[in-house]
Amino acid sequence: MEWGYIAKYTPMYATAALLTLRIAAVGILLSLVVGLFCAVVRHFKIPILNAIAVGYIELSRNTPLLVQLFLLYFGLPKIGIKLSGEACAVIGLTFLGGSYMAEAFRSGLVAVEKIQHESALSLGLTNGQTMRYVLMPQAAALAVPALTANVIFLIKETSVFSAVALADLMYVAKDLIGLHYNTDEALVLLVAFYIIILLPISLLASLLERRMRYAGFGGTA
Amino acid sequence: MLLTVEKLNKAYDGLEVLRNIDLSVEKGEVIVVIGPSGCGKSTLLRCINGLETIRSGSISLNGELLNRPKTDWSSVRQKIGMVFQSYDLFGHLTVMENLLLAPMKVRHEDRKTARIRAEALLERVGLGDKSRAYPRQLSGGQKQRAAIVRALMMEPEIMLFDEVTAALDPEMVREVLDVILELARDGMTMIIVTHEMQFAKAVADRVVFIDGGEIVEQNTPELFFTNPDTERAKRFLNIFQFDTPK
Ligand SMILES: Nc1ncnc2c1ncn2[C@@H]1O[C@H](COP(=O)(O)OP(=O)(O)OP(=O)(O)O)[C@@H](O)[C@H]1O
Ligand SMILES: [Mg+2]
Repeated sequence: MEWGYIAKYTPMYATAALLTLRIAAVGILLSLVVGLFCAVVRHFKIPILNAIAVGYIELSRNTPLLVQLFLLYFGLPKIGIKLSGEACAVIGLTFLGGSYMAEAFRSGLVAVEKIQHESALSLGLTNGQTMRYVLMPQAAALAVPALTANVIFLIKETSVFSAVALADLMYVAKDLIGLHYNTDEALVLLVAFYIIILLPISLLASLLERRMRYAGFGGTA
Repeated sequence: MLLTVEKLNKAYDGLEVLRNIDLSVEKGEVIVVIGPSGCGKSTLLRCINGLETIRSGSISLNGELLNRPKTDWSSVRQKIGMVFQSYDLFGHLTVMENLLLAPMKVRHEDRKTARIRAEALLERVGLGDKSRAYPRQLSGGQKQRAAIVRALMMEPEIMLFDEVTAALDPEMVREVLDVILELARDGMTMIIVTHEMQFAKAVADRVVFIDGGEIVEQNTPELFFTNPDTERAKRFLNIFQFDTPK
């Protein structure tokens, strides 16, 4: 192990890690928005939109992110749309994550008892208000474990971004190995940086889950 | 008439559940609906506040026809309070937040005035100290009393109760029924589905007996419980008294 080498290239990895984190953060946020929207559409079985959501979810869940990225990065220019690598990465991650988040929210919604919906309606709340004030808050709390698992899954998936020439962690590692053949050091740094990113997030996630499970809504159950 | 149900028919995918229901409720009247399990009591209440669509017939509130495509159910349901058998307080909100949600979001009442009304009502049903509790910290009887108050917050013209004590431990039944009795004394119009016969006798202005999806008999409580008009009501009361010796 050449410590000098590690010291020298750590800043490069740090820059790449920031890029990975930035794209992951935006992608995950957008995934939550898309997921929430699809889950609501599916819950109310809104005509047309429901069919579109189902189609999207199937497509998204059954194609690898790498394939989705290739389509965006190499396919779209052929029909005259040229996106930057970063835009492709965010869109690709959102396309993948949206369906996973949708299913997580939906499982939460299913777990909220029907009587909650009906008693909200019986008070005069509209369907939209019922969703916003009664169902979603409870569904989201129930969905926390699935949502956090998705967050970690999506961060790991970012490792394929290097395929669209984004200078993310994977890209930097591959690049350095190609240049200097210091495979061990390059890989140690790669693993270390993924752990630095993922470990705090996964600790935070399990903390959040525990709070939801044991302390949620003033409860003792 | 406050509420008029005429020739109401309801089916669940082909299965007829309610047949030719005619029921009128005057302002201030307390109707108790009884009948064997599965006869359609809950379905009738659910049709009245639009949780179920009906196959034919009509439902009117203050002379306004409800079962038409243009009905604004949100405003109709404000006039029809409903309390269910299973606990239905919103689990993620405290008792006070449960009470304030609909007045603030639906009626756009400001928090302060709604709060004052909520506190007075909670005090009245003996829950003055529970406004900050979450539903899961309450007993079954407390939950049902809070659910009644939540419905009352919308100042409904009529209240529907669907076996609100059926899931309760016996020692908690009384505290909930007392609240309903007091509402009756205050002149609230109510349709109450219950299996508590003593309570039915005490609270009802009229008893409606449903069997097999039809109204078999409507009678005063005095006559219904001592000398009903129909054979089917007699048989039901006999079985009932046999089932629950008191
Ligand atoms: N959503 C539904 N789909 C199909 N059938 C239903 C549905 N809800 C109720 N039913 C049927 O309709 C009939 C009437 O049900 P309802 O719940 O109104 O009876 P009930 O008089 O309230 O009975 P209980 O005393 O047990 O509460 C029953 O045969 C029931 O199985
Ligand atoms: Mg019932």
